[in-house]
Amino acid sequence: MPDLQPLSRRSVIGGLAAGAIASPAYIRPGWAQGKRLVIVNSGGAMGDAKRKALYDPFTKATGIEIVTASGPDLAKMKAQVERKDVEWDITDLNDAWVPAAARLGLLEKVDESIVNRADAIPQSKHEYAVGGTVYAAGIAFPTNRLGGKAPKTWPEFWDAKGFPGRRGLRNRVTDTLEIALMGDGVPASQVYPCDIDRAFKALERIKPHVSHWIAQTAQTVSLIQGNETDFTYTYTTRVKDLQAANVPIDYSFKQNILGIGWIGALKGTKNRDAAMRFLAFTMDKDRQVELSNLSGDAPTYADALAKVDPATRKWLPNIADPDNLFVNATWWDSRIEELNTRFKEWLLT
Amino acid sequence: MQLRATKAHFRDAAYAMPAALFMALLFAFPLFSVLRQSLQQENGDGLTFQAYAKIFSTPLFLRVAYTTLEVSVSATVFSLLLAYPIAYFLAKQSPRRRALYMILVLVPFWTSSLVKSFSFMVLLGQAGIINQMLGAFGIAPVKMLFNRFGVMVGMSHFLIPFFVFPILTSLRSQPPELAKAAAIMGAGKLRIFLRVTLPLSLPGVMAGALLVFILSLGFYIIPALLGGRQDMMFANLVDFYTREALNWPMASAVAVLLVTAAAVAAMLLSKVRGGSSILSEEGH
Repeated sequence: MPDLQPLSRRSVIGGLAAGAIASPAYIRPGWAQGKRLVIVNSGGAMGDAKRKALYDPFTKATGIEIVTASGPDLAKMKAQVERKDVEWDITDLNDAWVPAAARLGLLEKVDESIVNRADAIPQSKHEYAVGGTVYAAGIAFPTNRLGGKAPKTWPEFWDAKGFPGRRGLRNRVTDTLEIALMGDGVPASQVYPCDIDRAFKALERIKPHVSHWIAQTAQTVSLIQGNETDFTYTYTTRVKDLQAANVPIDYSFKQNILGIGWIGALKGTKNRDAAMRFLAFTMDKDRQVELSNLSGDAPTYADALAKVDPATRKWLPNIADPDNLFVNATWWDSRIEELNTRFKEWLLT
Repeated sequence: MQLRATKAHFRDAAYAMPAALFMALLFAFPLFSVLRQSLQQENGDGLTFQAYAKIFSTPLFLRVAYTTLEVSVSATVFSLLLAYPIAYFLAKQSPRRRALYMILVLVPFWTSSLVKSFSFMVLLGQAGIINQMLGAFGIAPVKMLFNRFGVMVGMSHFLIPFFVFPILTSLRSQPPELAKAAAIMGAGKLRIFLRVTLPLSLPGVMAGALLVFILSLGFYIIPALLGGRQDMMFANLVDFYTREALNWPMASAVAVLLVTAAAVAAMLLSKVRGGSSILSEEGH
C-alpha cells in the first residue's frame, strides 16, 4: 500500500489484488470493471489477429473493454498530447516512429514493474515502447509470368538486365535507403551507419526501372496481381494471405528487412495503469505465440518460435540470419526529416 | 424611408447570421490558427518568418508549386475542351430534355472522388477493361494510369460540371436573334459559331476557367491515387509536412500560400465579366 490517503478506489482494489498472488501482474479480477482502453492499430488481417489473440483475452482476464480505432498516426498523436486531450490510450508504432515519438514526448515510459520482458530479444526493447512482433519484408514476385525468373536478392533486384521487369518500391526513405545499399552490394552487417550518397546513387540507377513508388501497403501486392508491376518490396504476411487464396505469387526470404511491431502508451493517457497492463499482456509469451499463429509475424522471444504452428513457422523470418537486416530506428531518428525531404525532392526529379 | 431601409437591411443581415457565425467558428478561426502556426518557430513560441524563408529556399516546394500550376492549368484546358461541347449541346435542347441531360452531367459531381479514382484504376490499368479491349484488336497495352494522363482523366471528370454551368448560362443568355441575323446576312453555321456564339460565351468560359482552376489548386486524392511519382501537388505537400515530416509550421505555411493563391484567383473571378454571375446575382 503506497500511503494512507483516505480510502481510494485504487487502494481498495490494490488490497483485493494482494489476494491474487499467483496470477501474473496484469490479472486482477474486478480491478477495473467498466474501464476501457482505446487502442489504435492498422486494421486489416493484423487487426483481426490482435483482436483474437490480445484484445478479447485481455478483456476476459481483466474486465477492461478494448475499443479499437484504425490508422496509427504520429501527427494525430502529437495533436492529442499537445492539446492535452488524449483520446488514444495505446497505439501501434512503426520502427522509425518510436525514437521520434519518445523525443517529442508523446509516449509514456514503459513501467518495468508491470511489464516483464527480460527474455525478449534486445531489438524489441525500448524505454518507451514494447516490441510485440517481428515482421519481415522482402521481394515478392509473380509465379505465372516472366518464365518464373525473378530477383531473389537486392543485387538481383538492382540488376535490370539480368532480371528484366518492372519494379515497385515504397515512396518513403526508410527501408528504401537500406535496400538501395544492399542492392549496391553492401552486406547487411555494414548497412549502418548508412552511406547516404552511395544509397542515392544506387537509387538513381534503379529509378528508370521502378514503375511504382508505392504509398499504400496493400498496393505492394495488388499491383503484382493486376499486372501493373512485377517485383515489389512487400511483407511476408501479405504474400502468405494471397498464397492461401491461391494467387500465383511468391516471396524471397533472402536479405529480408526485419522490423518490430511496436506498441506504446500515449503520454497523458487517463488510463495509464490499464495501458501498462496491456503492454505487459502483449509481452506474454503464450499471447505472442497465439498472435504469431494468427498473423504470420514472429514473436519477440527467440524460444517462443518453436511453439508456433509448423504451417505458420515456415513464413517466419530467421532473426538469427546475418543476411537479414534489423531496422536501426535510432540511426534514423536525427536524420529522418532531412532525408525524407531529400528523398521526396529526388522522387520529383 | 431611410430608417426603414436600414431596418430592412439589418433584418436581412440577421438571416445571414447563423451562416456567418458558423463560418467564423469553423472556417475563419481555424484558418487564423493555421496562419499563426505558420509563423511559429519549429520548437517553440515567438513569431518568425522562418517557415516561409525555408519554404522558398527548398527545391521541394518550388517543384511542387510548378507541378501544381502545370496540373491546374492543363486540367482547366482539358476540362474546357470537354465541357464546351456539352454546354453547347445542352443550350440547344428543349427545357425538358435539358433538365434530363443535366442530371447526367451532375451524376459524376455527386460521386465521391475516392470511389471514382478506384473505378478509374479498374478501367485504365495495364490489365484494365480498356487495355483488354485494345488487346482484343492486337494493340499493345497503353499506359494510362499512374501518370499525368491518369490525373487529367480523374480531375476533368470531377471538374466538367463546374465548367458546363457557367458556359451554359452564358450561351443561354444570348438572344437567339443574333444568330438568326447573322444567318440572314449569309453566315454559315461555323462562321456564326466562331464570330457570334463563341465570342459572346467567353465571359462564361473565363468564369468557368477560374472556378475550375481554383478547385484544381487544392486537389489531393486524385493525384495521390492516379498520378505518378512526379504528380505531387500543394495539398500532398501539406500532408507530407503534417504527417511524415511532422513540421507543422512548414505545413501551415504551404497551406497559407495555397489559400492566398486561391483567394487571388477568386478576386480575379469577381473582376471578370461573367464571373460576377457566379459570385453575385447582379452581374450579367
